[in-house]
Amino acid sequence: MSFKLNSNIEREIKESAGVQKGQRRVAEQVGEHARRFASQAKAPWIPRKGHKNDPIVVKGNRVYNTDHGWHLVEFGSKNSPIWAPLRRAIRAAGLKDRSK
Amino acid sequence: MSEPLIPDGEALLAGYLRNHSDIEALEARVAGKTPSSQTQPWVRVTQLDADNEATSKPEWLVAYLFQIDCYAGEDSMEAHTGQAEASVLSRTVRAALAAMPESDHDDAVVTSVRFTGHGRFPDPDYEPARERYILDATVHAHP
Repeated sequence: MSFKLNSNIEREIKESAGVQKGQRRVAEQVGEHARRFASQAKAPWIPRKGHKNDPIVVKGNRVYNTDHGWHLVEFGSKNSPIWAPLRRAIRAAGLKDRSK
Repeated sequence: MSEPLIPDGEALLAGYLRNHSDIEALEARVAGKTPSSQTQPWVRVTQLDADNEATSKPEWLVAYLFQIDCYAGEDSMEAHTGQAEASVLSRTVRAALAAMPESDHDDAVVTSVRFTGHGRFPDPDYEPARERYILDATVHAHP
């Protein structure tokens, strides 16, 4: 019996319902941690329309900080402390940033 | 008997960079906060997190997450070479940190350094926005 290599296997696994569901569940956990860290940083800061109370949004397997001041809160500046709610949430959920 | 403390991550990293000849050659300051004089380039070290490495016994191997801001100095901004200065500084810091596990350190052993981000994010709190590269580094260390 011969086997043919399926060059699409990685994409097919990523798009499978089970993996998608698992990724959404992990994203929701990251979102919850991000909300906690954002709340410690006194979020919202400069709220976007429609996100007055909660700047953290989870869409599918992605987590967004929708606030207009997100970059100042995530990375800090001369005058702003670094709160890093998204990066800290990734670790709090037990995930690791991918090395570059 | 008192319990051993995990290494002071910021002191470890900042002290190492401060004494590194390549950073000294760039006349860059290394600090834990924005320095009062900003004419020369500087590096700001901030510890964002420090959690236990799952494969190690508790409170032994710690994975520190750092944000390292590499700023251009005022002099280079006026000479319109701020971006290049901040870029060289960030790449020099990255190279120095990559060699950290091979060096001896007081009160700590560094086992690995990994980079998870290296982007250009000018600081908008300056006018004009001050050139800045941000390095995210995960440093594994134990007492």
